[in-house]
Amino acid sequence: MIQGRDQGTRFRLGDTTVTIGRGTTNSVQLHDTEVSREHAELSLRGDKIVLRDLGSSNGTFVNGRQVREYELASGDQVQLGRSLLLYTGMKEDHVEDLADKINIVARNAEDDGSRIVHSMHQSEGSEILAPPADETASPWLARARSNLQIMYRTALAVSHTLDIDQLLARIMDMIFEWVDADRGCIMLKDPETGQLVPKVRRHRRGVQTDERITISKTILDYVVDGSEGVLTSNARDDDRFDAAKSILQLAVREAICVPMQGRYDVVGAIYIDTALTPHRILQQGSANKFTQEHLKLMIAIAHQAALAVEDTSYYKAMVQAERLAAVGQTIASLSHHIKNILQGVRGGSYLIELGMKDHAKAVTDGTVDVEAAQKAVTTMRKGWNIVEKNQERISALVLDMLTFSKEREPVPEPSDLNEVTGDVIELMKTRAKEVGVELGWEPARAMPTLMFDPEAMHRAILNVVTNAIDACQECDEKLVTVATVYDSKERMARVRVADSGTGIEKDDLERIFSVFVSRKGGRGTGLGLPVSQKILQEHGGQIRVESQAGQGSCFTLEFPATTPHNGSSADHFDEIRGSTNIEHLPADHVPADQGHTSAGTP
Amino acid sequence: MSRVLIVDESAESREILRTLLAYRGAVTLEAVQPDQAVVMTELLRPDLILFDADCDHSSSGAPTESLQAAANRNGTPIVILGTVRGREKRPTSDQIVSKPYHYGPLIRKIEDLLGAA
Repeated sequence: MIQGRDQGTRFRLGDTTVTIGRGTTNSVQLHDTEVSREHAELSLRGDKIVLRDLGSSNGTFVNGRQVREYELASGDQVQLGRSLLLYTGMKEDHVEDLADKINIVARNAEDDGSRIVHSMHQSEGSEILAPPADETASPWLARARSNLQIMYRTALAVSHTLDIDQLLARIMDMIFEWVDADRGCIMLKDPETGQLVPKVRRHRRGVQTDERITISKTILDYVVDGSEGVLTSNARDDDRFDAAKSILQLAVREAICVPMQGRYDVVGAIYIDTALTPHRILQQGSANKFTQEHLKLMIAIAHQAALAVEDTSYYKAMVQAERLAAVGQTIASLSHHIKNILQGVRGGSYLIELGMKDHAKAVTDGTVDVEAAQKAVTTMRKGWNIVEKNQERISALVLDMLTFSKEREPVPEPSDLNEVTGDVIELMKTRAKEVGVELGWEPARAMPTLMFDPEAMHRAILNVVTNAIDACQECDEKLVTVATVYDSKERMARVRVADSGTGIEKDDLERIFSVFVSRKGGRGTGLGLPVSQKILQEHGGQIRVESQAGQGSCFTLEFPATTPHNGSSADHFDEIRGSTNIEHLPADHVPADQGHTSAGTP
Repeated sequence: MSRVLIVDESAESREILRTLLAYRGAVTLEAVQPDQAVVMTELLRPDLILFDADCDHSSSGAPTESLQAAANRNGTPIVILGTVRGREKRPTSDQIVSKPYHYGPLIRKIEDLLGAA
């Protein structure tokens, strides 16, 4: 939707018929009073989308023309009431493959021996329109050349900005450069109200700037409604406006007012004027300063400006639509995950409630049915474990959301990668045991103290280890091995997380770091890996994945090893290894022969 | 003794339902994927199927339809937990329970269906 109250909204068309209208039962509901309750419908015919008017009061328009039924093409604009929709279609099926028809060949291969005989920088393009030094042609040709140059420069100027205010200011500056006007302004049509709203105002140097520019509404309406530019030297003399009797009795002025005609509609108007004092009339020997040629030029400039304004507006609407779609997807994904967590909490709570009732029954009348009481406690414990697990899930979700959303810089501090990874192992031990996964831990024999954000790195490793454990759950062999490695040659620190789980299909490998893409169904948020990757990237590192479906996966989290001393890569680590001064090594580093510990049993 | 087939990929959800149904004296069968559930429905002929719609990862809803067809052939009622893709194709006899649901009403619904079966 590129114009109207629902601007920015994006509707995805499927293979079912989509009804459009003001009524709530429509697949696409438009909040537009000029749209009928059941206005139009879109249906798939073959591989084309067909738009059909359903007998609406105000009609259905495609690219400005009223239609009853129309086969849409990508880029078509559909106007329903005040709402304007842009249809972006499906990919063309029959795009000609030109690879075989156009050859780009290396020099000395099959080329035709062409060579460059002259070259010109792109910026020199407008010089083609400049009159040659020995110009003796007619004044008409000289003016035509000059006008062409103006249009060329206008086209260049409007193509270099996506900010409408900046664009209009540039247009106004150029008009003042080429036309000897005293004052000028550009007005744009408000998409909601249809009223012209002033956007830019300019004065020639020396002209009093606090003077209000007064423009006759009758003239503006004539220009905008009729899409016609006007040149007025004295409005009282112009028969076309006499009937309206609303032409303001202005001083003797010449004015040009032109519509900004876009592709399908007038988007605004440009107005310039000049005061003609008797002294000036005498000076220039004419009562006219603006000519029809000025009018033509202004119409052409306004058209170029309108196209640029339209493009900029549509681009903004498209960006807004993309943004809304992303927000929608985010909310839908998070809602889904929170819903699953809430479901778990409800299940756990219900078990606790059930256990409490049973326990109460087991201890009534002063007697205790020990067996029943124990059973009730088991039920309560089961329920509590589920509640607790879901508390952890919501806490992890919140942390992931915060990490992903924050434009944060890591806070590096001297940290021990073995210690941080060991904390993750400790944390995941119980969970691994619960699901029967053997969690192996192989810390690097000698890991220097490195500069990194320990909290963020903990989160990154935790997400990957959690995924590895989950991947093993439905497998016969349930083994996850976590190892840290310091690569002194490449000066990289690495954490390797290998699992014997389900593995990842080749086609899925590219998507695993995409936000909200989860292979865990309802259990996954689709945030874990993107968050881990973001953290590693913030540390100048990356996550590498090797995986084979049915064989398991190996995730390597790696980042440049930077030492606390000089901020550069671990230059001094070689010194540490070469000396007996090992106090820089982590206090709890594990010797090689004791390097493998196992947490959790199958 | 009634037999209820739980189709849910979440071990936690299966555990909750298993515990609750055991309280009601029902025997539970468990499947993680819809295709697995289709086979179990044909072979084991449960009295009721509890199907979590999240198990169906397809965009077409075909796995759900297969399970519905298998259940229909056996006259087994299905309670679907969550939202089903391709909803318009769904047989009207299915019981839909939107998420997040409360377990009390769900268990009562299951008891009603088992009583009617």
